[in-house]
Amino acid sequence: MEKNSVLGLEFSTPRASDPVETCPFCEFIFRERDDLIFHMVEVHSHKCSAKTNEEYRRLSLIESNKLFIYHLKICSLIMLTMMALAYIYAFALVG
Amino acid sequence: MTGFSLFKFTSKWFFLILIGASLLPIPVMAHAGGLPLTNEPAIIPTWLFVLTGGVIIGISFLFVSLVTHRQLIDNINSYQLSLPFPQFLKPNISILQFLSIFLLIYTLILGIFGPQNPVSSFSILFVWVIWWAGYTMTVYLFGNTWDALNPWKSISILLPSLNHPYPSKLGSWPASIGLLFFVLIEVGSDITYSPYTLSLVLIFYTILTLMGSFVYGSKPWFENADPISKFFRCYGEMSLLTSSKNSIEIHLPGTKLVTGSNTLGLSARHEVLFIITILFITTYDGLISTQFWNKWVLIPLLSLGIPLLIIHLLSLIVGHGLFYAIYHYAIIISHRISGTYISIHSLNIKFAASLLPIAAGYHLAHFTGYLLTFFPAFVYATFHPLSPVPFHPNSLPHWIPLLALIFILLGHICSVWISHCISFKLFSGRLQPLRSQYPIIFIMILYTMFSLWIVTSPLAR
Repeated sequence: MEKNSVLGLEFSTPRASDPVETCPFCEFIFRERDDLIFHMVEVHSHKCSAKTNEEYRRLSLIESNKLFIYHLKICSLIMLTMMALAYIYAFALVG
Repeated sequence: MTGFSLFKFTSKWFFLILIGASLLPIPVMAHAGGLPLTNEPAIIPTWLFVLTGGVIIGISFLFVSLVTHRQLIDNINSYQLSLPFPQFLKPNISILQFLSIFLLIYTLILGIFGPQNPVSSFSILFVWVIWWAGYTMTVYLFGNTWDALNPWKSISILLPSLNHPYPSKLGSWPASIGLLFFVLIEVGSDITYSPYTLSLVLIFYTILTLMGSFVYGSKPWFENADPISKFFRCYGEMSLLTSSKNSIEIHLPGTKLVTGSNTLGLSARHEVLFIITILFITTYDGLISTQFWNKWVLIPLLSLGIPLLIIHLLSLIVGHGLFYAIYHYAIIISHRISGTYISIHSLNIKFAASLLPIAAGYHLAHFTGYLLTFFPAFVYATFHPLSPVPFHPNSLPHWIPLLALIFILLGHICSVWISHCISFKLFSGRLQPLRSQYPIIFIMILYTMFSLWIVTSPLAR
């Protein structure tokens, strides 16, 4: 299935049986409803209903929790990388 | 195989190869000034130096990943400083166009009748030092002025035209092939040191360009098919300055690529290929000057009796194809990881713009020392165009090679940011855009390490 959007993007769904959520404002298509809700409020906030906004707030909260864990992982990774690099430098320059 | 497991599988093999390569017992110390005319050895081994570059890009991505608020991203990209630009400072375009046509003819004549020693030749120094190195820098730093200064465009406007419709199927293919052909001539002939050859090539290019604009009209030809105009238009989108009627806005580099206010008009695969071509030629230029290339590629192939031009032609085709294949593969994995319905074709086009800062950073790194070294020779040749003089290159400050490495890293970091912003434009939520970046960042890390390896490799004698 090939579909052109008004946003100048080309869309493709792998199989006809795959789930498709379509934005009612710009024909942008998504695999999951959560992504559609995010898109609707992020791009067409002034057109969204109160129910959509409420759903967005709920999903944002869930995503914020996941994002917090993600950021913790990132901070840990930064520290670990710096430490590893410092060790490599120490061994390379001394050895 | 899901996108993420495919990514993990690929990355595992890449890292194994990388570690294997770094453990090879090659006693080569980093030459932080492997750039032209400098060869001061650095105090750290090459593999560690290259690894550090890759780590810096990886960490820059991790830091950028902390910025997930769309409003903040928009605020950063829309930040600009407006400076008044008085009308009397605006240059007279007609005079500049006349000057550019005069310089073209002057360069052509001096190339044929002037001194043939490259460091005394105005033609060689003007084309390679001032125009190719210096002017290109002004385009990606301050903005594209080539549309106004292009002497061939100024001449073509004065000539009649058949105004045939430009075939849309051709797209940017002539520009991409033209740019590769230009590099082939640069590396495979004596055009960089023979003023006479340079003039002949300029005459050939002039005839071809004027014929193209005669058939298709000046505007369609220079917008689609002319490699030099397209090259400068792409670089111009990187600039720190934007001019309006009465003011000049200073903003972050590459902002126009993110906000979509650029004039690239990327809409098809051939446009992506052109950007890949720009990226590739800057790398290829550096690669062929390394000892590695000479020892392992050039000399073995020459010993088989293959002509130099054919070697370069094959290398350009294979290398260009490889660059595109790696980029395309990264986009395919990004598409799978993000789980988006946006087609791979569209993602290919949208993320291509983020490669431009890498090319600009590499160009700046490659040509800063070159420009500073040969600029005094150009000044002398300007005032004494017919008298050859012995050339004594200035010794550059010891921090110039370090500056070159910083430019490469800054180009990559800028690219990481632009790619991050584009992903937030395309994908919804905050986690999906971040995850979509893994493969793109991965190839950026590899490319940074490859670039640093090139500039730290000993130069071929």
